[in-house]
Amino acid sequence: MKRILPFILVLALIVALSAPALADDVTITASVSEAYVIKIPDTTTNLTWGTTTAQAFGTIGLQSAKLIPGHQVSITVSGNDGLVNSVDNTKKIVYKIMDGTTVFTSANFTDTTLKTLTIVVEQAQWDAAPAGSYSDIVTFTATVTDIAD
Amino acid sequence: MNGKNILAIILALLLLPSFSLIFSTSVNGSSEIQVTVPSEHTVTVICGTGGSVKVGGAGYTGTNRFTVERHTDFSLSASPDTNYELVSITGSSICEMTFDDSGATLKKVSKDTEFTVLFRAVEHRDDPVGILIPVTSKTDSIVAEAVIAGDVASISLDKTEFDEFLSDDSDIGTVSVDISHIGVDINTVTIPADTVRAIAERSDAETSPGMSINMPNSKITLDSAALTAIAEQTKDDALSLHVEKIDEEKLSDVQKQAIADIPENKIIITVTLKNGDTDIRDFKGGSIDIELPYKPQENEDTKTIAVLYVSEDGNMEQIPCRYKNGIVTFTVYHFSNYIIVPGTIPDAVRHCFICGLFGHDINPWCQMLPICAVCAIWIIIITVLFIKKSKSRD
Repeated sequence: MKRILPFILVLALIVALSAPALADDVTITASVSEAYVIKIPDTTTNLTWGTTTAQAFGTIGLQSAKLIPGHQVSITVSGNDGLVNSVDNTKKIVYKIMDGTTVFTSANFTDTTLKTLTIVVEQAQWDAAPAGSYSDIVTFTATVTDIAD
Repeated sequence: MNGKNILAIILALLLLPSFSLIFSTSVNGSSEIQVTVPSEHTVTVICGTGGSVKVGGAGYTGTNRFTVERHTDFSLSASPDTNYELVSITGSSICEMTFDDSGATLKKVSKDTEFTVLFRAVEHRDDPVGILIPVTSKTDSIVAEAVIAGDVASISLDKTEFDEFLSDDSDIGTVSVDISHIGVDINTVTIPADTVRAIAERSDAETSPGMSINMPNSKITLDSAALTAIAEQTKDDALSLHVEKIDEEKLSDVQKQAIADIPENKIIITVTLKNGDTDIRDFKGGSIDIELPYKPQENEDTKTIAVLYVSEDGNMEQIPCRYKNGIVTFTVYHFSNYIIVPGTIPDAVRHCFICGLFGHDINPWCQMLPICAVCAIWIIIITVLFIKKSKSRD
């Protein structure tokens, strides 16, 4: 009981600090937690072998967002170092994740907009790749940051 | 309140900000990208009338399909019937192909490919014949028609298809017209002026494409600035690129005299670009890479291979070049006559050790020093000034 007491005291202190002052006017405050749901490409994307035009990867962005004004969600991609051969991990097919005509590395979102990403593999990469299965796992990381950052 | 309780309060206070940190931690999600590269490819061989093809020792006519293991070579030879001759062997693929007198080899097959083998009756030898050739970029590939008449190939492209080919906003790299894989000698390629204009117009884009024309005897690659300069100077419908190995006899007397000291086993190449009767020589700062096949002699030191430009008035200038895998590559800023020289080049065209880029001739009165007269005078002036200053200090 003695150990729980200090925690109760601290919580009481917090409640006391946030309680409205006893005055003629009553101020009611409410807080809404910052929350967002991000969308990233499907769990698995199968590329068509030999295609040099842009292949669909998926969309990224915010499906829903309750952000504090001045905040944004930054989504970055990492791990896209090349599709690795399942038998010999020194054999790779280099690819690029594209946002339109530019290579995608990160994007900032403040509302529920989505960006369409594609994957491009150059002919020389297809030509040089030995036969076999290749795969790569890319990681999308979402972080809330200040817009000023 | 004892010490333990105070510690508990401090710990509780420290924990408070941690709760708020949890809400600002990053969140991760992963996606897996997969692809399977096939272990086999299909090579389709279309054999025209008037002959047959041999693949793996067996003869075939008409259209046949062969399964080839990825990254292995595929060879075929063409056998014309009596009173027929081989016109061309063309491949749809952008894989590397080599040719000999009667056949072709597709090196390291890496995609499905189609060969077309054409024969013609000997009596129709001088008749033009149409073939299909690949036009490729980094992102796309289309087929153009080439009409072969003698050593001239006239290329035509479907405008709508070519416009679509160029419409890709991404970096399409160099637009490559490949007429090298046809098994016959071609010295002149005519290209529609509209084709060059269309590529030049796209040079306004963020990524400016160049254009390369791959002929059996050479490969000429023009950068976007050169293409723009050509487009500005083009009036007639067709551009005619001519690359030919010529005899010394075709040079002017002044040029012949200028190259008299160069070893006999040199190769003289003439490169011209014409629009109608007009020579296009000025590429306004644009550059052209020229690649020429070169077979070194036995025991030849390929590091000593040099390329010389011979002007109309007989002046010679050495052009930096490199040799690799049987190809000599050098960059020029105008078309003219060029000489591939095996071995050491004559002193008369050596460049100044100091200002080689300015092309000053080696000073005639001091051949031992690899510097030009202008640089020699500057060195003397600076030395004299330095000595005078040193003496005045003393």
